Amino acid sequence: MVKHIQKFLMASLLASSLAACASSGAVPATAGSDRDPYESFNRKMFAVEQTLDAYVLEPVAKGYLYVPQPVRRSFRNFLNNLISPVTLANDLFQGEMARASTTALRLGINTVVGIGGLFDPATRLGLERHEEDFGQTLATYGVKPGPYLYIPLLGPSPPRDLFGWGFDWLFDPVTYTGSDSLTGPIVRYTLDGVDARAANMGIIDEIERSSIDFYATVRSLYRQNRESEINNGVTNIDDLPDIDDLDDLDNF
Amino acid sequence: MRATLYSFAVFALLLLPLPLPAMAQGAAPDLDKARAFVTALADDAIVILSSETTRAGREARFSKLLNEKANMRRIARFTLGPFGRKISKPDFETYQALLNRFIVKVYANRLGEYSDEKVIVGKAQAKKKNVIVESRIEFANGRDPIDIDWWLRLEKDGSFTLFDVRVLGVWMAQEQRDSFASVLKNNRGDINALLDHIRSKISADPENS
Repeated sequence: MVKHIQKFLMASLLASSLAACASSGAVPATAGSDRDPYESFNRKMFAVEQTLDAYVLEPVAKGYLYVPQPVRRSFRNFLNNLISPVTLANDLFQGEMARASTTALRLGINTVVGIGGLFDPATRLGLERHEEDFGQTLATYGVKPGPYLYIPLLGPSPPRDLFGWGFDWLFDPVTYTGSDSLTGPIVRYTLDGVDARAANMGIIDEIERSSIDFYATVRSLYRQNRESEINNGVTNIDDLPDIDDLDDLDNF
Repeated sequence: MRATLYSFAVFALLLLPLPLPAMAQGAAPDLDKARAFVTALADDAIVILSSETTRAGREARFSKLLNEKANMRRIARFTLGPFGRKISKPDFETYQALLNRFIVKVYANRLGEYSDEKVIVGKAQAKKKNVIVESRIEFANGRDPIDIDWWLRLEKDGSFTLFDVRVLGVWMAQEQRDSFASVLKNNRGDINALLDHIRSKISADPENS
């Protein structure tokens, strides 16, 4: 347990020092769609990730696609079930009791009836899956993401989400399996990454091929998708940008 | 004088409520009509994606559909962001033509992933001339369903046009605007750099070589 607390403190220190760097900078704190104070560093890290993807992740994911689809489906169900205690903890932190009970019921049903999570009978019963993490919980408390950071193998990780990620380890059952608290989460994270890369092989390649600036596209996809996750996927027409003035622009 | 003012005020008060309901009726988008627009548009798109076997055929029909149902001029303006206010008319026309071809290429292929599907149109909400229609795409092969939102605009003639589509929480036109802004920023606002980037993406397409 001491080790977990140490790790948690280290993650907190890292995140708070990053956040301090960000807030002491001259850049205003508003999160504009192209605000990226460490862009040149991030682009280098993104290039490292691209290389790792081309030589390791993509070939491994392609190999994984030879595994029959129903087996991959069951493995995905298993991974989803395994992470659900983290979602449950964050549903509760956000005071979302209805969503918490959905997650708890899903966890119970899929673990028992779904044979350790290999099957997902809960969805068929109308209990739809969602994911929560501590980064989203902090966002609902009003914490801003901080500067955009791209970390190879972790992907887009602004300080708030990086800190949240560290905190979520405390509620992750695999942290408490095995001889140390690191191996379980790393193995799970790796398997999860390979499965996700394989499942989205076509669309990732298509987006990369059709993007005029793949780095900026990924940044936009991440920011928008994250915002949507924080709002639990609810569409609010008041959040749309104002486009009324575009109609007046045809007078040169 | 006072009597004149008084009668004028009474007259004005009598007239005042008259145009209001008429205006409100004209201004408030009809949500059922918006949902029907999306149902028809999604059905058309599915027919194209599932019946056209060649990329060229899919792109040609997709282009026709977009030109009929989307306001491409507004999309072009939006994707330029603040830069859209500085661009010259000839540059804008070049940009518009390239963007149309680019969008067709990108989305006819990105959407090629979603051909064996069923679209269930959900609820709609309106604000001023904007309507968002929610929908869910369900796949025949047991893949997780995807939520898609459609942002429509009520045009002056009372018809709807498509402005943007949100897939998995991401608005597509906003994503394009962000990456175009990045190219413009990294090329000191040179529109020709952006036009060249778009041209090279269009010509890099295997169907075009």
